[in-house]
This record gives sequence, structure tokens and C-alpha cells, in this order.
Amino acid sequence: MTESTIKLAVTRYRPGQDREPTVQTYTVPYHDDWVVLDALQYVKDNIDGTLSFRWSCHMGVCGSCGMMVDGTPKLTCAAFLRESYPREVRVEPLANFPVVRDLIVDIDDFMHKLSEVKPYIIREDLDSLPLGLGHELRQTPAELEDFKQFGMCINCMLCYSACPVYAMEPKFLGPAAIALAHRYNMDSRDQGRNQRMPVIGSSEGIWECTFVGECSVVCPKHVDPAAAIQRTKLATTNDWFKSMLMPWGNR
Amino acid sequence: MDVIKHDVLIVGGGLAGLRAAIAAAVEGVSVGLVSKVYPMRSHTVSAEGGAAAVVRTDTGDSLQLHFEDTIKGSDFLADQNVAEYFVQEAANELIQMEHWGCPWSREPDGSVAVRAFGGMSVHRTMFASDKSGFHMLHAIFQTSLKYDKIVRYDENFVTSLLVDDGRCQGVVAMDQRSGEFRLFTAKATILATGGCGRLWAFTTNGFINTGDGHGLAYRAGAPLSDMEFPQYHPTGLPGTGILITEAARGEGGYLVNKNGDRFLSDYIPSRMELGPRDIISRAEITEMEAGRGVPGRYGDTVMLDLRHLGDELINRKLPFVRELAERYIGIDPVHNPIPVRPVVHYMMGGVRTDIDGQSPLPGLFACGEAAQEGLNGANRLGSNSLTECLVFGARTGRVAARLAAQTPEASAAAIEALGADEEARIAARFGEATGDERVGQIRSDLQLTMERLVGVYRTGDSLKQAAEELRTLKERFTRVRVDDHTRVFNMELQAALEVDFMLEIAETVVAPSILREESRGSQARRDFTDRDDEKFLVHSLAYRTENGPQIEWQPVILTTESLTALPPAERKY
Amino acid sequence: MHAPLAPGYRPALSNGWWLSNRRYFLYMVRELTAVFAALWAIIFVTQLPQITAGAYSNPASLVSSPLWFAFSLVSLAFVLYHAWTAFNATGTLIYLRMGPKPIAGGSLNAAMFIAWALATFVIAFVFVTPAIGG
Repeated sequence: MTESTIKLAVTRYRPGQDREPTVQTYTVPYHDDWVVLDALQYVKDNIDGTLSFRWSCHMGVCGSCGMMVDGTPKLTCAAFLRESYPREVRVEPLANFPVVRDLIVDIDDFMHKLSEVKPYIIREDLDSLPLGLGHELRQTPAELEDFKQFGMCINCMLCYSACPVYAMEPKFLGPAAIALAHRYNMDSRDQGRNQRMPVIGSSEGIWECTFVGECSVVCPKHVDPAAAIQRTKLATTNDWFKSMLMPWGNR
Repeated sequence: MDVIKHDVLIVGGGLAGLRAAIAAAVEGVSVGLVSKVYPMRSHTVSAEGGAAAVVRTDTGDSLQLHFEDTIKGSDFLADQNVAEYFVQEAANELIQMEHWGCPWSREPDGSVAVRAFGGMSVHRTMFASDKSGFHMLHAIFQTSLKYDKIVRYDENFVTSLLVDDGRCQGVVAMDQRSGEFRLFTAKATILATGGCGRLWAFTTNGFINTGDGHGLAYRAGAPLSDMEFPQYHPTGLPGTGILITEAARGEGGYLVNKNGDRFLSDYIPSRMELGPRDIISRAEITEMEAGRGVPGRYGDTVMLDLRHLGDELINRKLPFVRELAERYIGIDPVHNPIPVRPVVHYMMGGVRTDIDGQSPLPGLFACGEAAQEGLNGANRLGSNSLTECLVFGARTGRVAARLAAQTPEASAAAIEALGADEEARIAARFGEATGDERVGQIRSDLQLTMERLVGVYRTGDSLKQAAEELRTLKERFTRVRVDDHTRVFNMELQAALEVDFMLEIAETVVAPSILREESRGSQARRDFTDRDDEKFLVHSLAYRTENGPQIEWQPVILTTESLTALPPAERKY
Repeated sequence: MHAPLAPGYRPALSNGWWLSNRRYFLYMVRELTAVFAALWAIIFVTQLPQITAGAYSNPASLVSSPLWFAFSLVSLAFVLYHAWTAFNATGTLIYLRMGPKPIAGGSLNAAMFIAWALATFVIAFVFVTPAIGG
């Protein structure tokens, strides 16, 4: 029996060498339990060592291997060849990011935005809290539920890749960064909301979002960044009304 | 060549590296954090079950009990002063993580919840559902962003340590983005590069776990210790090796053979599924060899049955197990048992350090899985390693920072010469390589050799065969060809450098395995089935020589300061 | 921090991006329907003085023209669609937790539709019907 095969149409781009990306097609063995990443690794190890891409955990939690698979942003460790077979699989670098090489995109913009939203617990007494047995800050399971979903973000960048607003306005803070800010704002242990709002509420923050909603559709971890953004809009609007109606209020 | 100066330089951005970075930054020194991936991609992210510490006493827990479980789990090869310090600091570190935002699972009253884990005699493992490592890593990485003293160099691959004047003075690293080599000088350098599970074909470890830190230290003259003890985790998914957390058994899952029998009653009836990993992995192999395994596409397995736990508990406490089993093998554990088999998971061994993380090479430290500081001995208990990263990451970071504050700067000229030599070495070795061997093929053959000959059960002959095959692989590697000669994200060159490390580290696993003529913890010799404390209550130390590793032995520390030491005895559960 | 960045390639967003999947297309439809709703409202407000002066019984007025009728009909359909999308987003927009469990998004959406039906009933039978003498 001859082994079944499948074609991969992979975007290549070598800076300094190629002016713009080209497509290279590889034929690899087809296995119904192989994911796209397995096929790429097969190419690199057996056919063409010069193909570059990122990957690490192969279990959908490290966030390294996001690419466009047949035009949709996906984790390639969770996109099975059988979803395309017998058609060829088209593999491209994540949309909306500068391509550094082949399937590798530049995500420094996100890394910068992530720090901007102060994604950590802020409270005055943080460094003086006692440690050890019995000194956890109490948080009920219900309070944990308030934010946990938004803390499931693996920073895989699929949401930015699906966001047309980010494509048109790269200054937009974007889905993941805002979802993570919201995660801390909703954490009962945190007191830092007012410090995050200047960035979140700026013109490049939540108000850029026109609620296309595709970020939440492509999110492999069901974070629902669109909800985080819309809820932050509502909360910010409430704050504004409160400050108008009660200017003496200490907000 | 650019020279970048820091007081403390940390290689590796996982839990241990980030904890060390924050600890050093708090001491007020400048910290450089170099990692071959973005920190949140580090393999800590894949840890599932949880982190152990005495954080509740209503369970009957105490420091002495955690200490004794750890020592017994290690098959008495742990350094007892180190285990003592570990259990004392564990709760501080986990509660610190709580204050830094880790979303630990909770009891209804808001206190932190704990679950059962293998080899732990009471419930003491804190968890964040079954993505504990993911949540801890993101919480600490995001927290690290507020420290201005920490400067990150993401996607920089360290190719060698700078050793001058008998001290480690920093590293040479290749910036993947530009392909440029840069010198990072530091008064203290900390390796926190994780494990090397990728030496084997069937592993839970990510693609990045190639043991670069082990290789760096070894080449610089520091010894690797207890490398004969890789941990086999009892529940890996066939095919991919994806980890099914021990918490699945902690929450009440059963291991059954093809007859549906809970076979552990024949091996460890007092603990059953909550026994230590080495014992359960051996039991699984024995069942399969006796023909009681379940045949499958990727060979025999046993079955992990969670059906009796029910939908609600699985969704609340083991949602990731369900997601992984459904996606990768098409089995919903609510309705069907999951096929599993032993899988390489963790290295007990690593760069030998003292309790401060200091290696015998001045200026060089290590922490986390990359280090062998003495905690884990011949078998680590599940859920001790996330805590280990924090406890020893913090201590190492603090000690390194204090050392750095008293250390004068290195001679710039000597360092720059070393950097130039390193770049020239790599260019000469791989720049024009035109051989007939592929990097991927050699890596794959290495992994299959280790899988076949250095497994759960070993014999002197299988190990000698492995040593022989490793020599052949090293010889083949001299003829390796790197097709990519560009600079930007030359991942083939990085892979070649990794495999170069891996071939050497594999020898440090095999050599002491041959010499340790006993069975202890995760080393099970068919030709020496008993533990031999007379001869082998010692750590192995592998030093690099031109002819391969030279093995020395170092006594285990059996004394403590305040807890009661546990003299070596038969390991009975 | 990196050594100086190698020049990357930044692909541009294609003009037809909103046709590349059904959800992008529906998003564009949703945005477009808002334009119709706004346009209708602006025209209606500018015509209010004439309407109160009896423009509906004047065949020459704008609001009596078949064109306006047709435009109103299309706008109504679009407004209904827009309202449907908006109410369906309620659960996304509002997070309410009473006790241990948050209220499900679907329940919030349903509450909005019920409120909508009630408001329509009240306007139709309490205000409009008496006003036109039915």
C-alpha cells in the first residue's frame, strides 16, 4: 500500500532575500492524527531545513504556534490535517503582524501593550502582606469566577490576527491586552483599576473597538475578549455618568 | 560585538528564572533575563496538577510530614537539609504567588484549596484547576513586568558561557531576530533553562526542552549530577506523549489493565493510584509485559478510568484533561477510559548546586529543573517541582544579587576575545557545513536510542549499547549539514546547536546509569534489582572530558537543622 | 530587547476583507443598518413641523410619498435587525452575579426581548391607539 500524502502550501519570506512572500508547496505523509504543526516539523526535519516557525508545547497552552490555516487564525498544534484532507493545506503567518521570516511574525507590539495595561495585582499593602500558612487573601469561588475566564489568555495572538480594527489601526491596544486588564480589574484582590483606566479608556483603547466580535470566535481558550472590551466600555460610561452626577464623589 | 552588562544574568524565563529575576531585582541590582522563547512560552506553562506546600493544617499536615514524604519519595537520595529548607519556605512562596494574582482554586470560605497527589500522605497540593503551571507562569511573568530593574532579551539563544579567570562572567547569545551574536556580561549568571525531556522520543516535554543549560554548564566545566534519574510519568497520551495530570488520580481516577482490574493492588495496595511515579510507571510496564496491557495504535497502554468521577467534577477540576483527551485521541473521559503509558517527564538530575543554587564554578548558579540542588533525589514527588522553582529560584536570585554587589567587573578585553572565538567556532562548525547528515534525523535517532535503551527498566547491556550508539551519533553529527545560511531566525542553526548539546547530555545520563549498579527511584536495573546504600547512597557527578563524561560520587547530606532527619530505611508504602 | 530589527514585511488588509467570512459580512451589515436608522430618524425629525401641520394628509408632502414609504419599510427592517443584534449582545455586555453563579447571558438577552415586547405593547396600546382614536 502506498502511503497517503497531503500537500502543504507554505508562505516563505526571507528578509533581505525576498521582497515579498512567496508560496512553497511541500508534499508530506498524511496521518489522520497529525496536526499542521506535525507536518511542518516533518518538512523541517526531512525536506527543507530552512523553513522557520515557532513551536513549543504541542498541547495548546504555550501560545507559540499560531498561524493562518486555510485563511483562519489557528493554533497549528490543534488544527488537524484531516480537517483539510484531501485538499491541500494553506499555511501562512498570522495576519495583521509584520512578518519577520517565513511563518514567524513580530509580536513586540503586543508585548509592549501588555506592560502598558499593568497586568498585575496592584494594592498599596502588596509588599507588606504577611506570607505563609493562613495568609492568603480570601477569595470565594464565586469571586474567582468573576475574572477567571479572562485569565485563560495564552497570548497566542489569534485575536489580533482576526481583528480588522487592529489591521487598520495598529495603535489599538487590542483584544488580549484589554481582556487581561479586565481580568485584573475584576479580581477581588486588586485595587488598581484607576491606574489602568487612563490607558484602557484612551482613544487607542476600548473606544477603538467596533465590536466585530471575531476575536472571541477565534480564541482557542474561550476568553471572550469582545465581552471584556464591551463590559469595560459600559463600566467606563457608568463612571463618567457618576462623575457628572456626583462630581463630589471621590473616584 | 555588542556587550551588554548586568549585575545578574538569568538564562531561561520560566517559573524559576522569573522568580530569581524578581528576587534579584528586589535586592536592587540590574537583572538581564535571556530566553530562547518569550517567557510565557516556557515549559512551566504545561504543568497541570499543582504545587505542594503545607498551606492548611486541618488536613493533619505538618512540615515534618511534607519533609518525610519528600525524602521517602526520593528513595533517600535527597539532601535532607535542602528538603528541610524547601518545606519550610514552600508555603511562603505559594502564598506570595497568591498575592501576585495566581487564580488558585478555593474552598467556599475563600481559603486556598488543596488536592491529593502521588506520594503525598495528605492533601497538600494547591492548584488552579488543572492548569496550575499556566496560571503560575502568567501571573509571575505579568508581575515581573512591573520591575524596571529586569531587562528582558526574548528569543536570544545562549551558545556558551563566558569563563575567564576561573569564573563565569556571563554568556554569548545569538539574537534570533537579527542573527547577531552579543555578549552579556554579569557578575553572577543563573541557569534556569528547565529540563531535557526531548532526549527521549516519547516525552511530555515541549520542543524547547533540549537541556541547553545542562550543556552550557557541562561544557564550562561544571558537573551534572544524578542524571541517571529521568522521571517517567505514569500517564502520557500514546502517540503525542501529552501529559494527563496526576491530579486525575488525585481526584479519584483509577488505573486499570485490559481485564478492568485496578492492578496497583498487586504493587502498592496502601496507596494505589496515589503512589509515587516511579513505582506506578514500573507497575504499568510489568502489566504490559505480562500481557495485560491494552493494545493500541502506538503499542500497549493501560487505561485511566475517570468515568465514576462524573461530568460535574471533571468539568470543574479537570477540564484540561477532558479537552486534551477529546482533541488528541478523540476520547471523552466522561464516557470512556483514557489509554495512557509511562512517559519521560522530568529530570531529577541537573547542574550540581548547593542550597544557594551556587555551582562549583564560581559565578555560575542554577535553579529549577536545570539544577540538582538536592531536593528530588532519585524520584521527585508530583507537585514538588513548581514549588521547587519558586523556593530555589527566589533563594538563588537573592544570593546571586548579593554576590554580584560584592564582585568587581570582569576584564572587558578578555571577554570580548572569548565572544569572538565563540562566533568563529559556530561559523566554522556550521557555517559551511556540507555533510550528508540532517540535524532532524540525528535528533530523531538519538531520541529513539534513548527510548529503546534508557527506559523505565534498564540493564548494564542496554546501557552499554546506548553508550555505543551515542558515540556513533556523535561521529555522525560531525558530518551534519545545515542548509540555512541566513541570519534572521535561523532555526536550523539553533536546532543544530541544541542537538550538539543533547548528544553530550545523553552521555551524562547513560554513563552514571551504567556505574550505578543498583535500583533506586527511577533507575530500575534488571541486573541489580536492589537498592545498595552501602555503595550508592551518593549523588553522581559527571564532568566533561575529551573522552566523554568522567563520573565522581558525592555523599548525600543526611542531616537537618530543626526538623527530624529521616535515616535511610526500606522504602515501604 | 533586540539588536537592531531586521526589516519585516507587513501585509496590507485587503479591501475585500469583509467578504472573507460570513461573520465579517454580517458585522458590516449590522454597521450599515445603523446608517439607515440614523438617516431615517434625521429626516423624520426635520419633517416633524410639517407632520404636526398635517403633512400626512397632504399628498405633495415628502412623508406621504411612496418613496418615503418604501424607505421607511426598508429602514424598519434594518432597525429590527439592528435591534436584534444589539439585544443579543446584552449577555456579552452585562455581567451580573447574584450569589455564587453569574446570570447566564442567554437569560439577559431574553429579558431584553421581553422588555422590548412590553415596551412595544405599551406604546402601541397605551399611547398610540388612543391618540389616533382607535
